[in-house]
Amino acid sequence: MKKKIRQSIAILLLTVLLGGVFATGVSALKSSSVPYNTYEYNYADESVSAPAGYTVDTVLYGTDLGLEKGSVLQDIYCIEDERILLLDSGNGAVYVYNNDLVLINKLDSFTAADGSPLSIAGAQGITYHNDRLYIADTENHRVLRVGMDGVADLIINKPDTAVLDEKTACNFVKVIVDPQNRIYAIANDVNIGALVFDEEGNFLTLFGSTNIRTTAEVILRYIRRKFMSEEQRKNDYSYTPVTLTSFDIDKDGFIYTVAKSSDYSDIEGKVRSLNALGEDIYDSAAFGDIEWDRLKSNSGTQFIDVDVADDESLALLDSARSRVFVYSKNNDLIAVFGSYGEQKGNFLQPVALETVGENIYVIDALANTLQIFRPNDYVRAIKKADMQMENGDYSAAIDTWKSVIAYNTNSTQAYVGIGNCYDYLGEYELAMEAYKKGYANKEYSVSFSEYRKEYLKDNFVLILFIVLAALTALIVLAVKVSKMLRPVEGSAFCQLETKKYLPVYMLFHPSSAAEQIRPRGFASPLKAAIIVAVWFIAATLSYFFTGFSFNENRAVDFNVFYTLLQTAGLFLVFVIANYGLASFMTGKGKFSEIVTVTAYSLTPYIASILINTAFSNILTQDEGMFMSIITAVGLLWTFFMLFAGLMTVHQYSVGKTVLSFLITVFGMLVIIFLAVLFITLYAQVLSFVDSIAREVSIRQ
Amino acid sequence: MKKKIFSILVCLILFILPLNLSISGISAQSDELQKPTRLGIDEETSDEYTADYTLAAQNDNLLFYADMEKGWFALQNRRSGKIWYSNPNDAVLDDVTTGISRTDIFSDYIFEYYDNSTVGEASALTFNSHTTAVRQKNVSVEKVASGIKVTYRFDTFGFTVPVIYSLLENSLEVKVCVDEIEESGNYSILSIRVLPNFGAANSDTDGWMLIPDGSGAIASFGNGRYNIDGYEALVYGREYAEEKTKISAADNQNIRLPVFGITEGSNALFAAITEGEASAAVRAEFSSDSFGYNNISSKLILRTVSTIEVNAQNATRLSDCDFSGDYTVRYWCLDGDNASYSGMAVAYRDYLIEEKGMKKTELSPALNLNIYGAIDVKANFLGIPYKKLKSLTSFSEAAEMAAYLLENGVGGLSVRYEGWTNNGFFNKKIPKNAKPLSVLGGKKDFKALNDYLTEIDAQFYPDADFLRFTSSGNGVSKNKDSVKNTFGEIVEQYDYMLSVDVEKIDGNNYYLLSADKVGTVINNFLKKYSALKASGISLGTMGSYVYADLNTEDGFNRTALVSSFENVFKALGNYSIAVEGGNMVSAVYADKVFDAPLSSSGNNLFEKDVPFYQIVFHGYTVLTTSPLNKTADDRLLFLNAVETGTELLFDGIYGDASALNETPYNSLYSTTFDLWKTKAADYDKEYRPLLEKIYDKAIIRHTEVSDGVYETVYEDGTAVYVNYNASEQTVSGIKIGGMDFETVSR
Repeated sequence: MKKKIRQSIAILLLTVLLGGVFATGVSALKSSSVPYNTYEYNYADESVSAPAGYTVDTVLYGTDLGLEKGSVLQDIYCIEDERILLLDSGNGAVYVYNNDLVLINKLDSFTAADGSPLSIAGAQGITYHNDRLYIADTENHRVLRVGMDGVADLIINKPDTAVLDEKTACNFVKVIVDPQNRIYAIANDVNIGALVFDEEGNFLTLFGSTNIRTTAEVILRYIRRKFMSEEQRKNDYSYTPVTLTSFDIDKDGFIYTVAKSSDYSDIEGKVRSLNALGEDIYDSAAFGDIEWDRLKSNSGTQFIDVDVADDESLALLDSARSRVFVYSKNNDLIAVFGSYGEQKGNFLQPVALETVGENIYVIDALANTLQIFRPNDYVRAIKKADMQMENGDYSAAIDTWKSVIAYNTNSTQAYVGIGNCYDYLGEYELAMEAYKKGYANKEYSVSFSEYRKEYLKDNFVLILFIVLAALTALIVLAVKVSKMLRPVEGSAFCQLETKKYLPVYMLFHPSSAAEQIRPRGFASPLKAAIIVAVWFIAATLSYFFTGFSFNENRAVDFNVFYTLLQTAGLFLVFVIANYGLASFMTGKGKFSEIVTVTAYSLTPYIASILINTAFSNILTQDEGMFMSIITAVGLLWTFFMLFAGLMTVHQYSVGKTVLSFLITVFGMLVIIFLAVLFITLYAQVLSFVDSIAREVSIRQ
Repeated sequence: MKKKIFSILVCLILFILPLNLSISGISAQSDELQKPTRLGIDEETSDEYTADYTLAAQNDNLLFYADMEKGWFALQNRRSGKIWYSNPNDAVLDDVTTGISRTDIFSDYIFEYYDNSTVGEASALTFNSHTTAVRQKNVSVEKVASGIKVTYRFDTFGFTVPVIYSLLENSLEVKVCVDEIEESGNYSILSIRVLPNFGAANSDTDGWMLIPDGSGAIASFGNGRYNIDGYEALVYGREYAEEKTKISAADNQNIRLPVFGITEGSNALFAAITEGEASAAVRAEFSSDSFGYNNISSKLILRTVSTIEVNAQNATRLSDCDFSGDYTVRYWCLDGDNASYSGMAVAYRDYLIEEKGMKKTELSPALNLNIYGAIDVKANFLGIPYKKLKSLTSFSEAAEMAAYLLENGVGGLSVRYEGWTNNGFFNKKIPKNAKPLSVLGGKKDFKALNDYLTEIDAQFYPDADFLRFTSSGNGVSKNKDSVKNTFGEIVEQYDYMLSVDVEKIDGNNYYLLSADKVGTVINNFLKKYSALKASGISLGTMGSYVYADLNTEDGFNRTALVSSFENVFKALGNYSIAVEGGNMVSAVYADKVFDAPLSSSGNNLFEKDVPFYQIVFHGYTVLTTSPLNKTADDRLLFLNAVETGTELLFDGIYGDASALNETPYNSLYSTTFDLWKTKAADYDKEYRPLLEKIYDKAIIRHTEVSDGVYETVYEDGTAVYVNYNASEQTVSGIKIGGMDFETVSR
């Protein structure tokens, strides 16, 4: 009864104060333009422009919210879409609003169970569970559980446990309560996870300490710890790189945590979804901004709050760039909004966010605002399509995804969504087409596998005929070659032992072929050059024409110079290193012979590239092993030919050949190193001259 | 204590007196009017704060009083009796303002200067006219025709600065005689804040300021909102001659019109910069715990100083392309119904009609298409990369698009065609030959399109960009003719990454063309262009770009560029001209402004956006929205258009935009014609009856009649009500559906 009266007085007061102008808070803004970049990440992790997913609908300033002077908003909590709690850490008060954001209650004085007054200081976190508020009373190093009358029935202080050392004060900043009434609290000076208490406030355990990633440093540390004494190991425990900054709990009891990271490039493991055992079901997925400028001068994304909505979409607040990221339940980025700035829709110091219905509320501690962002039709359509797919309504989902594409033809997730729908509906060809547009190689491969099955069924006779014809052709060829390999009557040589057919002969008799190069003048730098050119062309073809299941290359990324280096460049370095070495190791091979042998030896490998390019168009990812085998065969064959061929032309023993190969590789490294060094030096000289010239022109 | 009560009393009397006068509607005689006085002055007050106002000039509308020793003045509106002081007359009583700002309040001019002997990073220092000239009695005031000339002598710095105040028929003109400014010694003036406190109001006053950001916005006094440093922005947008490696998307609107205003109760002081506006900034300050007043004014930027780091040492240089000529600002006193943003807009429109010769539109109402022709994309042949032109919309496809819309009920069309010549959408060289691209169908198809559009009475604006380029050629040299910084280095304009706002590695970077070349290249182009027989031309970038060239040898300032633009526009009289963005200098000459500002950048200080820009131009220069198919909420944008009589715009390509995903043009993600053509036709059907009625009528009033419901009244009496609420609203008996509009004819 008392509460009711106080509420109505508050409403009355507010109505008088605000002149009754806004019964529903403040009127919505009427601009559709947004003061921030709207983008998505494409499959190559580059930001590309996208429609605005959310637009700021209303901005409530301190005066609109009825806040008093000196107030600093620090946290927001929404009670079942009906009431909104705002935590004012400046004055140590809690404001309660109805869902029209009319102030209905204000708690600014708290008492202990025995009636003695309690004050809260610098409080940063608030939550609500079973009619009671939980306040992370940061500067008093405690968590309070208070009723809506302001009376605290539980005070949790720093637990008496060996896990926390004396220096740790336990500055609790965030608190949540799980369905079993366990209380989870994050303290910003505890970096080994959240502290878990039972409903009486007894310390139970630590939860969700960040998994240490297996970098070299960590492995080293692990080894070092093996040799430490028990005492040393205890002290070493204080070293943990990541501190949780906030968390939220969903209706199934999964806890979503966000962590601060000191390393800009640390994009994985910042957001985790933990089950009751503390296992991360996100498995180190990447969230937030995943590209940086080339100077790496920007700090990476620093998540400071997380909110999981009823539809399991995730809203994340990045304090580094004052930005909100929204992910669908499938972990697809569906919207980015906000930026640093003084405009409506931007933030100066955003501290917390909360999903209320379909809207996202963000509070700003410096501007002292509560901003309400509403989803636009684009985001609504994405969410709707996801929902339709979950309900198995694939044909409807296709139409919805198409409406998403009408907003944004760049949307990879819409194409992948359409692909998934068609795949479920058995329309594999359409699915493949959509997956191709969505750059989804793996999914494409799965649909392709089904498509191939159907195709085989429909064209069984034709396929059988083609396969048989191919086999016959192979057999005929094999027979012909084996015939040609037999010595011609009246000659010491077979038909293939001519200058013309030497590359073919060398495939089967590398040593014998190499032996004939000098006496019979079979060395042919021209043919060698042609083979190397074919290698380059094969590499290029493979880049562009490898089947989509296996091809993640982008046409725009093709670098002709790089490909040339990888083929002809590598060839040249090898032959030069090998020729140079021959003079030290009394190798007998001439340069033209080395070139000929090396180039001829490449044919099996080049063939394997071409065969794989062809096969990649009819195989699926699961059958990729087959292609690896072809590559391995090609490589081994090439290596064997090269080994035998060079051994023969240089007239080395086996042991010496092995040694010469090792030294050749070393020589290649030296050549590459010198080339890089030269280029670097050249660039440095250039930039030095340039900077001198600039200075002269500027200081004239 | 006594002093305070006295001052409150005087305030009250002053407040009530003019109110009564204006309410009774009696045009008061000068001798009946309140005389200007300063408050809180007693025997103990230092001489430097007292004033002796004498009547220096007058006409039927205004009285101009001046202190002949200090140069302070007061402007009185004879109709309402309201007196506007050059600096607040209650400043002596002010107990809020602290520090240097206390003397700033008494100053009519605040200077930023640079000490040439500074070593290291350049920083601007400030001084004000009160402490450096008035206090030393170094101000000379002389009477000139209908006003006074005030000359400040700043001995400390060796400057002499003359200004002239003269009464015009219904305004006060303030002229800073820049050519007569004398500088000596080691100091250089960087900028001058002109009358920073003219019309300034203390924190208890009920009033607001008109901020010219984007379409215009209103900021109330003392709204208590947090802000870091008030509002300051360059007229016509940021300076491109200064390299910017990082950009913020937050600066999404520029100042398009060089105006500002301040109100107090039922009176308003409205200002427009009438000469030299391109070299000015507008600055607003808000009362806070440490600053007692709200003010808005302009700042003339004479030159810039910049510092760069070379080999780990700072080098500093002043720009040499100093502002020259006169800098003038006009102030109008408005009262009653005119003391509103509508009234200010009407005053400015009248000014543009009289002084700039702005004329009523001759274009019939249209649905606008912005069509993209060809783009330059990377391609490869067997791995060998090369650039090729890719057609997004050919000339015949564009005709097909127009035909479809016409058949589906669209009543009139306007087509702007980008990327039809030269190197496609993005210039490599500055355009010269005006040759329609063969990949789009060549000259023959271009002519066919032109003929077809003429036949269906559609407007046709082939677009050419004469400001941005990436390589030398066509009579333009990259080294000689591009914009440079103070050190003579070419300034590259970057393309920025969306995620982290810094320059892209492989972005579409470009250079800007020097002012002295602009006229020549356009003339050369027009010689060829005229053969194509198109009646219109779009000079998109000339509506949105203004920049200086800070090179000390052959630089130019922003005002020089703007006057070269003005010459181009005047010389193009035979063509129907379209521009983009619509800076004032382009919008008055153009027939159409594409993507005109419909909102402000939404600074927290702004209470609400107002369609000031639309009120000024509607009926004179046709304005369009930003593309409806690219906005987050097209219904909202449509209602914004209806509210202001703005025409609709769609961005289109004929083919499938998903093909652009891997190109730098992926921001065209919503342009596929097939995906928006029905929507465009529907919106046109909904809007056309209203548009036909009002397209050439000036707006006389715009008001928010109830929460989220806006009324726009045109000169023929037509009133349009737009309801932004989700639910139906009734306003003076007129029912307006949720997110809908209603037209009432009279």
